[in-house]
Parts: sequence; structure tokens; C-alpha cells
Amino acid sequence: MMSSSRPNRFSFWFMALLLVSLVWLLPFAWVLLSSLKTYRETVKLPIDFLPASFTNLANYRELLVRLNFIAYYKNNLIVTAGILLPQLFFSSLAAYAFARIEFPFRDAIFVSLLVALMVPIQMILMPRYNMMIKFGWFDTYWAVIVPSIPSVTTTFFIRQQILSLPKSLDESAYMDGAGHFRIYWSIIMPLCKSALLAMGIMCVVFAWNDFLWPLVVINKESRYVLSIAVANLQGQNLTRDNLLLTAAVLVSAPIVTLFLCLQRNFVEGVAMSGIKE
Amino acid sequence: MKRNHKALALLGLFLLSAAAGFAAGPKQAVLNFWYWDQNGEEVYKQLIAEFEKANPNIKINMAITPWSSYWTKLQTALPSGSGPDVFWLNHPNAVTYIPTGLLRSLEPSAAKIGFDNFDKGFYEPYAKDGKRYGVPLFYDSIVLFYNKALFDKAGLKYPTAAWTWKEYFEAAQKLTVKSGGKTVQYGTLVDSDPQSGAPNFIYQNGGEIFSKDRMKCVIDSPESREAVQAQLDLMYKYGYAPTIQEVRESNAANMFQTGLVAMMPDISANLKQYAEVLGKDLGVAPMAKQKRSASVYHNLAYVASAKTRYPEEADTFLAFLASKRHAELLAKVWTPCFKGGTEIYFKEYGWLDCRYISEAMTYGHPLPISGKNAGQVYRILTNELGKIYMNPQVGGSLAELERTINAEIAK
Amino acid sequence: MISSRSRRRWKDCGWAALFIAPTVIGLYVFFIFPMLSSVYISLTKWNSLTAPEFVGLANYLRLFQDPTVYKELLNTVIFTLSAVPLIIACALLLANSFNRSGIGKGYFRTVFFLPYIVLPVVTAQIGMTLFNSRFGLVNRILALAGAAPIQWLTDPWLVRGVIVAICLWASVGYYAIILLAGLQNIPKHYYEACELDGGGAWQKLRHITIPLVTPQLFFGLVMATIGILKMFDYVFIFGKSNLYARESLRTMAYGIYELGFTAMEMGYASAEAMLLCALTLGITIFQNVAQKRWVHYS
Repeated sequence: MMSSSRPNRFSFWFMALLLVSLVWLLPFAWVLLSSLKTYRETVKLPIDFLPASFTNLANYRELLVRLNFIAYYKNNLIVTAGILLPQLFFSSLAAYAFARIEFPFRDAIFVSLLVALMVPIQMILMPRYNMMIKFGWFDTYWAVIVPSIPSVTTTFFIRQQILSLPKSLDESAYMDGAGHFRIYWSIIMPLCKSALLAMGIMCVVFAWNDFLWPLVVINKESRYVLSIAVANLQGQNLTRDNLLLTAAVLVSAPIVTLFLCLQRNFVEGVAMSGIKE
Repeated sequence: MKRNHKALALLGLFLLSAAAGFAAGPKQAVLNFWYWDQNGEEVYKQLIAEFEKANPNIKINMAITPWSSYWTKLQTALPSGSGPDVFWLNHPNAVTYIPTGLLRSLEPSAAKIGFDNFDKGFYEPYAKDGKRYGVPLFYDSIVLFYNKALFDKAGLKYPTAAWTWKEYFEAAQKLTVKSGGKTVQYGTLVDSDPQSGAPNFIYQNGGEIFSKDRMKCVIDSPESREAVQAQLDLMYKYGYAPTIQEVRESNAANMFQTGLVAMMPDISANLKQYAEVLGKDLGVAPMAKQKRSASVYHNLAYVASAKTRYPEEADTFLAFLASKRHAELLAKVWTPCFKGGTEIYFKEYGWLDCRYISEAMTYGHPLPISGKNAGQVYRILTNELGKIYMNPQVGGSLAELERTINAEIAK
Repeated sequence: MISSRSRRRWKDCGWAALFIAPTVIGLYVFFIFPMLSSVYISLTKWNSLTAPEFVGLANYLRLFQDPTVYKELLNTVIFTLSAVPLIIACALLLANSFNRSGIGKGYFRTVFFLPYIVLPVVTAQIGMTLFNSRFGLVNRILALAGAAPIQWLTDPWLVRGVIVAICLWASVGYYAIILLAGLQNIPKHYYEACELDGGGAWQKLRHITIPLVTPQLFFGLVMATIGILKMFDYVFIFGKSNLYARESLRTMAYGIYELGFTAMEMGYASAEAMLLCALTLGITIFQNVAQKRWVHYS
């Protein structure tokens, strides 16, 4: 019975998924193809699926030269790296404390942090902006980086991961008198590698894509990040879709590549941080 | 001991170099300059290069922020003094920003700037209680853009200044092409927008939006109702124009540039883009008149922050922005407000009848802006006109709009 | 012995404080305190350019008489009630299929997750060019089948549908991967036992799969709900030059932005933000209470 139903079922699920996955890829194909079109081609009726020339890289050239995209990539790298490492370090430290150390008000503090998830960013723009000016961080990378370092989600996920590790691992070390930082660093963290990697990727995605906050705190064009540069392509009256979609490709390409390289580890990371109470 | 010496020596070196830094000359003033239109990038790059060469002690940091987030950014930055020193402003927002005291009055430096080079109508929207706050930048008006190729194909003569609504409607009919029950080409296009749409026709038909002192909305008149109904008929009764929903969806500019629409009233600022795509097929004419000629015009201005750290340098920059050289460079993209600037612009687009753009000024219909709560009122006007244009019949909708706006002005 | 143990307790607390300080202080300084300061702002009339003026509860009273706010509340609820269950259900279906497709698991996981990492503003832009009635790909494909062009972006319900579809496209892969993690932990023999009892696909899903992934389902539900309740980017992009889409889509987060940064009514905007926070908090608490009845942790 098993052997008779297997191949049948396999092909059904496989074919169904394959079909749906093509639909999922369609917008990507559309964007890639549109990025090779001229403006005139995007407003031609009836529209063509394919660009007139597959080697028309004029849009890419225009963006890379005129908009100084290379400089924006560099800025994005600085900002993303500046957020990533401290976020992973501080979040995992906090996650360890919330998962393994007993201290008063532990759960209350943890739950209160979840409020930060619910805050709509539009509302805290103004107070936060004034804070940055008081700190003297305005128009510097600090203003983009520091507020994005503390993360509820990353702390939450890594805490889940630590909770799923058997307590016996660190308890004996604790009994032997090992300090908490040592337990955290040499016992727990090596076991959280994949969760850290997964959260690292998520962190990079968010840092890479953040828009409203950098828009407000960065004035100097030389410090613009990619998302702002893309938004700048929209005119008040007219927008050129071909350029916009080309910019979409240029912005997304690095993180898509990063994800494609690390996707196996990423999925494992999310999977291993099994959600437990 | 030895180490201490080393440290001292280092400290000395540091101090010396710092002193050298100071000695290098007076500190450079850095001015932040903000605007929102990507089309100006080339022009400003050149302008600023020339300005900085002439004024080596001033450095200009320019930043483009797209229209949709410009106001968010400005509103956050300006009160704290961390925003721009000199920036673009439009008329609706001038009414909001001037009373806040965040803009610097330009009266003390009026001579340096030279307001005589501008028509009064250009700086008056940016003045209050006898104080001028803005250096006029460029203006636009509403003209009728048309596609010569499509007129030729239909065997029609190009629009002229003599056209009334009758000729406009007739041409729209002849330019509408149907095929298999579907419209494949529309004669014209109707927009509800308070700048490029409805008010133009209300004015042409003898109606008004606001009273003379702009403190009362008077849009509900037989003339206005007739004008709006005529616009609705173009869409819903005759089908010479795509429905307003389709215009919002497919974008008027795109529909015109593809040849889906044969002629349409639009902001003259889009001329450059249309000329690029349509080339010699593009034509410019005045809008058809009815009881009178009318075209809504609007101009932007450069304003300065009251909290600028370098008021004197900001004035120097503003004076440059009010100069003929500025107008010459600006004319590559827009119609400068500077006296004679329009003619320079016309030279750039010699094959088009650009004079209609400036002629619109003589009809005297600035953007409809209320004297109080201007931003909010303009938003209501935009939204409600948009809703009114969704129904085939105007009915009592203008009366309701008038009530809503007057309630907002009274607030 | 006792004293050394209690001393160690104290020391532990010190370590804990040190460990959590950067994250906790950071979250309070950059998120929670600014939010609390807007509690005060919500009691004032403030255009953000000049000094605020204290008006007591006036903004809150106005909130309950404002038809626009009701519309935004309704839209927020509509989106939450439609998109969240749809995303979670599709994610479960996807995860289930991943688990059974045999080959190509890596490919599928990648493809479905990919949209999640695209800038939301860009996602919305892509969506707009896809669904554009004249120049869009969707109507072009429909035209091949002989269908008349559909005005996706101005019809009040179709445009909401488009937004829900974009939400689904963008985030289903993420939740599917979370659920997949739970599915992979289910021992194979459970299914085999069910099959021996004559259970079909539906029985297996109903009695084995769903009960065993409830923790992941719960987590996904909470995260998706919070995300959708705060939906802003899509509405912002879709409504930028399209009044009809804007009016049909306006969510509370969008309303807050519009009030604060277009109408310059920071005080009133803050009051609406408080309402949104209360709503989010209420729903999250409800989900947490309700979870005790259906979520099973192994």
C-alpha cells in the first residue's frame, strides 16, 4: 500500500509546488525583464513581455553612474555591519540571561519588551529624532545604527533556541563554578550557531531595507542608503517604471545573493530554534 | 618617564596640527539646500559648482528628497534647526510655514536679492504682512498638450487660441477611436486635480473657487456646476475621455505618451518629459476658453530657515539663486520666474509654442489656495473633487464641498 | 554554604542585569519611552512646528466621532482578519507540501522565501506595475485568455484583494519555514499509524499535523497579526497618486502618518496611535489567553 501511493503522491505535491513556485517567481522575472526595457517600451501598448534587446544595460549604467549607487552600497555595508554584530552579541547575551539566569521580575521585564514590537514607527519618529539631535548623532551613521541594535525578535528567537538546549549542559559547568559569561560564550553560543546565523540574515534584511528612519535622520547625500536612493527616483508627477524596477534589482541583488548562499543554514537555524514555551 | 615624554610630544604635535587647521583660514560655511524634483539634479550640480567657485568660503550640501517624503523630512528637521538653510517651498505649504516663524524674512536683504527682477505675482504668495519670505523660482501653468501625429491621422487642424469648448468637444469626438466595442484611442483626458483639472474649467466658465479675500469657498455656482458637468460628460456621457479611475490607475502622462490619449490639459512642467518621448509629434496650445480664458498657474520659491547658522552666507546664496545666470541654467528644465527667463526657456524648446505657458499668467488665476488652513483645505479640495468626478452627475455635490471647506476655514 | 549560595544568587542577578542591560535599555530608550512621550502629545494640539497646546482628552473625543478613523479601523480589521488566516493557512499547506515533495525541497524553500527579503516599498512598486490595468502584466495575461482589462487598483474590493495577495506573496515563505521546523519534528510513525487506521490526507492534517505544530502556528499567528496591524508601506505606495486606492486601503498606521505629517496634527495623530497600540495589545493579550486552550507544547 505504501509503495503504491508514494510515487503518485510525490508527483502530485511536487508538480503542484512547482506550478505555484513559478507564479511566485513571475514578479521577479517581470522586474528583471523590465529593467532591460527602455522607458518607451514600458509605455507601449499592448505591452511586450520581453525587452527589445536583452543586452540593453542602459538603465543599469544610468543608475550606477548618475546616482552614485556604488557609494550607497558602501554606506549600506557600513550600516548593516554596524547593526549586525552588536545586535547578535547583545541580543544573545540578553537571551541567555532570560533563559538561564533567575532574577527578580525576569518574566515581567521580558514581556514588557514585547511592547516595543507594537510601536508604530511613524509615531516615534519625532521624539526619536529630537533625541538624536541631543545625542549629537544627527546626520551620522550612529543615528541609523544605534537605535536598530536592540531587537526584540532576535532576543526572542535566541532565547527559544537556548530554552530548547538541555539544561544539564550548562548546569554542571555552573556547579563547577564557571562564570556566566564563560558558560554563555564557550558552552551555549557554539550550540546556537545556526540560530545566530538565521537571525543574522534577518537582521541584515531589515537593516538593508530600512527606509523611513534613515530618510529622516540622514541629510548628507554622501551618507544616503540604498532605500532612500530608490525612493528618490519617484518624481512628483512622473516616474519611470523601467528605472525604478532596475533600482529594485540593484538594491535586492546583494541580499538575494547572500540568502541564496546561506539558505540551507538559514532554514536550519529557524528550524532549530524550535518554539517552546 | 620616557613614555611620558613621548605622550607629551604626541600631544604637542596634535595641538600644533589642530592650530594649523585653524590657521588655514576662516572656517567654511556649510549650507544645506533641499529640493524635491529629480529633474533638477543636473542643473543644480552645475549651479552649485559655479557658486562655490565664486564663493570659496561657502559650501553647499544639496539633498533631493522625493515629493512624497519631502514634507515629512522638512517637518521633522526644520523646528530643530538641523534642517536645510535654503529650500524649495510651494504655495499651499507657504501658508502653513510662514506663520510658524520658522522662515526668515528676506526684507533686510531685499536689495541684495533684487526682488525687482520678478513680477509681484510671483513673490506675493510667499509674503505676509508686508514681509517677503521667498525668492521666486519657476512657474508652471496648465496648457493643452496634443499629439500632432494623431491629429494628422484624423485629418484635423491643430488646436488654436481661438478654440472654445465647442471646438474642443468636437475635436475630442473625432479623435476618439473605437474598435470592437472598445475604445482604443481617447480624444482627451479629464482630471479632477485642483491644479491641472477642475478649477481651470470652472474659471473658464466664469465660476470661482474662493472669494476675493480667499476666506470663503464659493465653488457652488451654476457656472461651476455646468463646468464640472461638462467634464463628467466627456467621460461618462460621450466616452471621449477615459474614466477618472482609469486615469488614476494608468497615469495620465503614460496614457498621453503612448498615444492612447490625443490631447490633454496638463502642467507645463511636464513638457520636457513629453518632448523627450514624443519629439516632434508634441504640440502645445492654450486650453479652450468658454466665457473667458483661464489657466491655473503656480510658482515655487526658495525660502530660508530662520534658524540658519549662516544668515549672511544664506543671503549670498539666495542672491545667486535670484540672478540671471541661475535663470539661464534653470531654463534647461523649467520656466524661470526671473524677468526674461521665460524667453530663455522658449529658446530651449524653440519648435513648440511655449508662449502659451507664460500667457496663462495674464489671465490671473493662481492655484486655488484658501487664506487659512490652506494645507488642509487643499487636501479636502483634492479628495472631494476626486470623489465628485466618479459620478456621472454633479448633482448637489459642489454645495456639499463648499460647506465642508467653509467649515474647515472657520476652524 | 548557604551564605555562599545566596551570595552567588546575588552575583547572578548582577550578571543578568549586565547581560540584559544593553538590549533592555536600548529598547526602552528608542521605542518605549518615545511611545510614552506621545501619550503626552496625544493630550495636546500640536502642529510640530510651534509649541504644543494642552487640550486634555479632546483628541480622544474627536477620535470617536471621526468617520475616517472608523474607516481606518475597519480596514485594519479587514486586513487582519483576511490576510492573517490566509497567510497562516497557506503557510501550513506549503510547509506540508515541502515536507512531502520529496525532491526540490531546497529550491522550493528558497523560491517562497525570496519575496520576504525584498524591500516592502519595492514590493509595492512591483505590485503596482503588475496590476496596472493598461500596462500591467496581469491584465496582459488575462487578455491572452480574451478577458477584458480589470481595474485592479481603483475598485475598492479588488485593490484590497491585491494588497492581501501581495502580503501573501511577500510573507508566506517565512511562516512556511517556521512551520516546517515543527513539521519535521513529527515522527513518521504517527502518520503511518493513522494510515493503518484508514485515515486520509484530511484526517492526518486535522489530527496529527495541526495539533503537533500548534506552538509554531501560535508564534506565526502573533507575528503575522502584529505585522498586518502595523501595515503602512503598501498603502503609502499604492495611495501616493491614486486617491481611490488610498481611500479604500487606508489603515490606521497610514492614518497616523497622514495626520502627523500631511495634516500636521501631531496631537491627534498620537491619539490614533494610542488607539492602534491599545488594539494591538488587546489582540495580543487575547491571543495569549486563548492559546492555553489550543496550543500544546510537547
